[in-house]
Amino acid sequence: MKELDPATVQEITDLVYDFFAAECDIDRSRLHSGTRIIEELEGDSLMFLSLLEKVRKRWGIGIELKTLARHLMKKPAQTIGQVVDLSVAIVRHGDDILHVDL
Amino acid sequence: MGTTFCTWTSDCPGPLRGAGVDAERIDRFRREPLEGVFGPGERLRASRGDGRDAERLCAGFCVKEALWKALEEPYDLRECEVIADPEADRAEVLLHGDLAVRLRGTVLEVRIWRDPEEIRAAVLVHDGAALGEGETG
Repeated sequence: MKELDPATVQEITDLVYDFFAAECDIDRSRLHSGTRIIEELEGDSLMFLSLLEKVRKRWGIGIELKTLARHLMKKPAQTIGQVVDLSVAIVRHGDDILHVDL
Repeated sequence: MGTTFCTWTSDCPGPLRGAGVDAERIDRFRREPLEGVFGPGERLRASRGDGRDAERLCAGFCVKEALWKALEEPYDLRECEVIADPEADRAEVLLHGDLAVRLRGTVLEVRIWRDPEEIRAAVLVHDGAALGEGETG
């Protein structure tokens, strides 16, 4: 497990919010942790895969997509706040995320 | 995205094990191919610069997603290599790694429908002849 300082957690949070703002062509100030990704932003798997690629590249993580998919089947990320938590967990745990109880 | 209807007659004799469909807008693929989704061969084929690279990627993604839905189980999307001809209603699918092992003994039937803005794909998984590493489904 990788220890993350508050600045890194904030950077991950900013990345997630900036990503959805750009992808959905919406002002970032209108997004909040409870914003529902599918219902309110029309988010889909391609959007999620694009975000995952950004996180993986920025923090050099080799997490496998199928590992993450299995995690999401157990615990879906439906809001921006949940995606932030998931992204932090990906950076913190990598492929071990399957064994993490978020 | 509205409702569309696509029909065809399957010519595969094996029993159906699963079916999946997907649809995507082509313009979403006018960007760098995702490394976690497309393997090196697919990224290379989508860098021809002939104005149809986004269609190739979009068709490939639709087939991968449709297969995911047909299997109802996650797999590494790069293990399903899709060779999509922008003019054709079918695509060649090469299976690699764990996915090839998992789908040994099955036949994949792939259909693609296109319009100027959107591509739709359906994948049927039949029990049938054996498929192995790098073989065409």
